[in-house]
Amino acid sequence: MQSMVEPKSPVPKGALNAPPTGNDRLIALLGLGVWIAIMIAVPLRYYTGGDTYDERFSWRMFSAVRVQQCSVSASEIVGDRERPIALMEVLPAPWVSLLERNRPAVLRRFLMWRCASSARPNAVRLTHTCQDASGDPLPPLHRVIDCGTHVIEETSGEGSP
Amino acid sequence: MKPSTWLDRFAFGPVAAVRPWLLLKATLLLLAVDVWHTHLGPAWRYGAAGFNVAHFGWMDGAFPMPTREAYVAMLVGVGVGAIVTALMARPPRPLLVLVTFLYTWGWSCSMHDSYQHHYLISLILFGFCFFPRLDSTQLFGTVGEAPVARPEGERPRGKKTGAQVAAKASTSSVAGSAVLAALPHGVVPRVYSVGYAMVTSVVAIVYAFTAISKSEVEWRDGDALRNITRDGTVIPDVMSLAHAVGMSDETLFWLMGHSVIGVQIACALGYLLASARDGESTAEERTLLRGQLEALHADRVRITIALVVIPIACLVAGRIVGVLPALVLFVVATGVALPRSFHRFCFAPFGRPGGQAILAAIALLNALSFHIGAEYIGLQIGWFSYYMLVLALIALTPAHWLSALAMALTAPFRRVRAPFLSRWPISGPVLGIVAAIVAVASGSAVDIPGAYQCSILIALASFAAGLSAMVRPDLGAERTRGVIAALVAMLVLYASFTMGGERYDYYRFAGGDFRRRHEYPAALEAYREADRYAPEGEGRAAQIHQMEQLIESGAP
Repeated sequence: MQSMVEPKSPVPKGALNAPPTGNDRLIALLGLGVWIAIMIAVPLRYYTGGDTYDERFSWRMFSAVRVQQCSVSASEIVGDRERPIALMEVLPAPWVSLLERNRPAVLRRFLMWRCASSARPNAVRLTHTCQDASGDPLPPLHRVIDCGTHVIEETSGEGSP
Repeated sequence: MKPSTWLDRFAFGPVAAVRPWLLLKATLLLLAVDVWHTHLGPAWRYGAAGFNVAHFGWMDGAFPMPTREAYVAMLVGVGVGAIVTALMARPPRPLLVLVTFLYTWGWSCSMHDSYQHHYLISLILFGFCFFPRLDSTQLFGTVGEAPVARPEGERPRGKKTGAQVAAKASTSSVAGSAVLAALPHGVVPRVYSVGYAMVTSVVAIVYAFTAISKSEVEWRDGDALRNITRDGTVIPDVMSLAHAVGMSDETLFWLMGHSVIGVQIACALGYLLASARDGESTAEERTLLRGQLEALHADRVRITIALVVIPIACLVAGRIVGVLPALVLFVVATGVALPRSFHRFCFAPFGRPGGQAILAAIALLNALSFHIGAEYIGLQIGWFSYYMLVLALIALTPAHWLSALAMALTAPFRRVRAPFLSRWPISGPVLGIVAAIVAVASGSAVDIPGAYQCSILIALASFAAGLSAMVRPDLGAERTRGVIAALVAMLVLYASFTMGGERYDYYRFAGGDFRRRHEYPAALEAYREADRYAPEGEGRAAQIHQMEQLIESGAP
């Protein structure tokens, strides 16, 4: 009777193991194909997505975006008054750096977090001013969260929304 | 050639077994020192102010907010696990999976860690999980065994030069056979590994995408480089050289900006084909390389003088007669001292001939120049350059160089390991107890929250492994080796945490953060700890005094 088990390929001379055959080979090839597809798709997402400042996983070390010099200012509206937020007094310095770098997820989380703070603001605003790699100023970016609805409005340019 | 053959070569190789074997060990050892050296100082920030953003949104719900204690425990676990995995002959795969998981959690739990190369290391570690488990004795045999008779068909054929070298060397070096005894699979044994292709392909993709990002106008025009090098002030030698040949700053930055793209593409292509470059082991190659290695072994005294004694002597001479004369002396003396066997071995034909070897050499030179250049510029990228240099040196150099080096370095371990560890049946439990005591003592002595708790787990694991070495004699030697590795790892941990400035950084940065956020009692405590570990002249007495005054005055 013919064996149902596929014979393993012999170990070639000078090798420590045999190359995979049959189903093992197919699974390994498929696995490698999926791996490479994911590895290409993830960084490609940056070039097809809208988040210019979220360069994570896209292998853009020291990119033109990364070398931008940015600063951030924050304020909140409590009652009828708008007052500045001293970021370094409410957040550890590394988070302030990430806010300055315009990381979208950090910005969103900070705005939500500040809304839930004991100050109970009606709205929180972040304003970024950046210079590009050659030192030319870029239009400022404004983000304002309405603490009642948690809707974040994002605008660019002089003045504030 | 059939497409499936190309595909199989790319996916499985075979590759020289020394590449995955050495890559795994070197990367893990580097990782252990890296996490302890560069990650400990900033560990204070995890969980601070109750604010955190994980890299993946689902993690914020799935895991509790990371704390500094959990992060330090991760550092201890990853470092010890990496060292144990690197030092064990055939490390258990679950341990490698655990190291991969812990390390990946370490960077992904918070955007505090936004270094892209940490993500790359996770991908490489994941690829390692699919590496074949290799032991140096599998690769090169056990030293001291009787030489294996050369089978029929292994006689040199084809190129006469190789055959002549092999024949001459074989007869001239009987002594060499004691060290080169078995070599059961030749000088460069091969292995089929999809894990290796996973690692090299992801590195190729990284370089390819880096080339894309560097092709943006800011890089091509040199503006980004000008910004990074602060108008060239951090690369004064390069600027001077450019000015000396009449090149303007604009031209230099433009040239550098453009050349980076070519460098990345060359590296990407080199890594893309890295898994396919070694090819199958042939009888001719085995005969040729063995003969050349025996000739090399016969000349080992001259080689040692050329590669060890002369460089040391020239370093000493350099202090007396100056750098340039010492350099000339080094080149001349090494050139004279190195025997012909060394040149023959270095330039022996190896692997698939032609384009692939040339491409690998070009990629290697580009990778070395690029990453050494990055260190020269002083980019703040942690140990990324070192990882990439290790990768390039292992994946892109001719494998017979690596094999010869690995063979020489592992010879003592291949000779003594089994008899030494199997001599005393209770050596496992005894070592387990010693390792457990050392683990707890080290974890306690380093005085960083989280380290002690993790060291207790390591102590329990060491004790259990030592005990099981006695219960399972078939695995005794390997488990005892794991216990010794854990012992070594905890001693390295102690040295790393206490001899550098990381512990001081940890506490002083924490103190500064608490102070800025008006948490004065916590700041005072952190500053007191920092003061205990402060280098001379950097004590925190002023900050301690300031905090005491603020607390006394009841400042908000």
